[in-house]
Amino acid sequence: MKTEKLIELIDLYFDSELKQGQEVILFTSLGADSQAREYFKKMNSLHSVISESLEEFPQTLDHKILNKLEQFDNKTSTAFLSQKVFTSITLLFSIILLAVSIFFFSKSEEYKVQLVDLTREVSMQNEKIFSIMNTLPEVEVKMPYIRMKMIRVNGESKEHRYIRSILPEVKVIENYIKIKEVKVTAKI
Amino acid sequence: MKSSSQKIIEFTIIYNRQKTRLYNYAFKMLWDQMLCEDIIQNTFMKLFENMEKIKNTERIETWLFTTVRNQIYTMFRNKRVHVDQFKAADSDKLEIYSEINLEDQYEELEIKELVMKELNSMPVEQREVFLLKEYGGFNYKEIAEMMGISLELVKSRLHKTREKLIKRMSKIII
Repeated sequence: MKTEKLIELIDLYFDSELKQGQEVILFTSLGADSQAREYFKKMNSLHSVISESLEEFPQTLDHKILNKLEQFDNKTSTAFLSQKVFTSITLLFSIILLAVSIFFFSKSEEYKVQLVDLTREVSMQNEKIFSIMNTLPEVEVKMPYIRMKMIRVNGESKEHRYIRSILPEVKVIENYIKIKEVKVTAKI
Repeated sequence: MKSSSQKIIEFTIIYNRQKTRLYNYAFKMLWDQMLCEDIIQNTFMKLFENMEKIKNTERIETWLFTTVRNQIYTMFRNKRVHVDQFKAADSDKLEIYSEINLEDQYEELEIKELVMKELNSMPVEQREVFLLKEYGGFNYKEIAEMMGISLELVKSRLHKTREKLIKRMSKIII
């Protein structure tokens, strides 16, 4: 196997990415390739140097984080408590609103019923009036007709004058008085 | 809903398991104790606040490292000038190190420190892959997902980083 390929396998081995089958190939091939063996050794020492270079987590930071966490937790619980109070108040307010709404709703229902009753009464009255009106007989009015009536008189007599005084439209033609006769017929 | 004490216990278990790895990753990315501590503290507080939500959506370990990573990159973006200066100073230092006698260097610094210095001199992207692998304990796929790069790039960056570190070590050991 070529050295480059072996170096690639060594990289994979140290990165824990090497497949099980390849591990056997790598270690078998390492015996035959001194350059790859050298690279393996160097990689091994680099790996241990890196492991040793791991800095310890600073204690001050540890305290800082844990203190902040405690504060944060307290704040959260306070916030939770205030949230609880707020929820209770909101719930109470909602219940009150619900009660008021139910009250107004029942009231409006009452008014609605009253209105329906009144409407019904009014319509009944209306019907009553209508029926009363309809019980009267039918009235029929016909066109008046005018007929001239001729009355015979003797000259300018007393009667003639009298008739003329009460009926100015009467005309005397020779010895006749023409009287407008008006007749109105009505049917009930 | 879980009780507060149960939540604290659960958090403490995660905290104790992850704190050292997370701290080492952050510290070796930033090389700034104060910034690193701030980031770690913020991350664990965020975890405590949203533990239930996080547990339901992803692996806590991945979430922790991704959150720290995002904060580190935000810091890099905000303090770009500072980072650049820091890098430049480091590369100067490295040159000096390279020129002086290795025996003297060996006397002054342990191998570990030298390796760390070499690691620190590397570009952030390269260093990060190595740190996520060594301190985070993530596999190639997880690192690729976290960094938004391909699997091959992860492998190549890791190999290059190791090569550089081995080269540096070889000068001292052999």
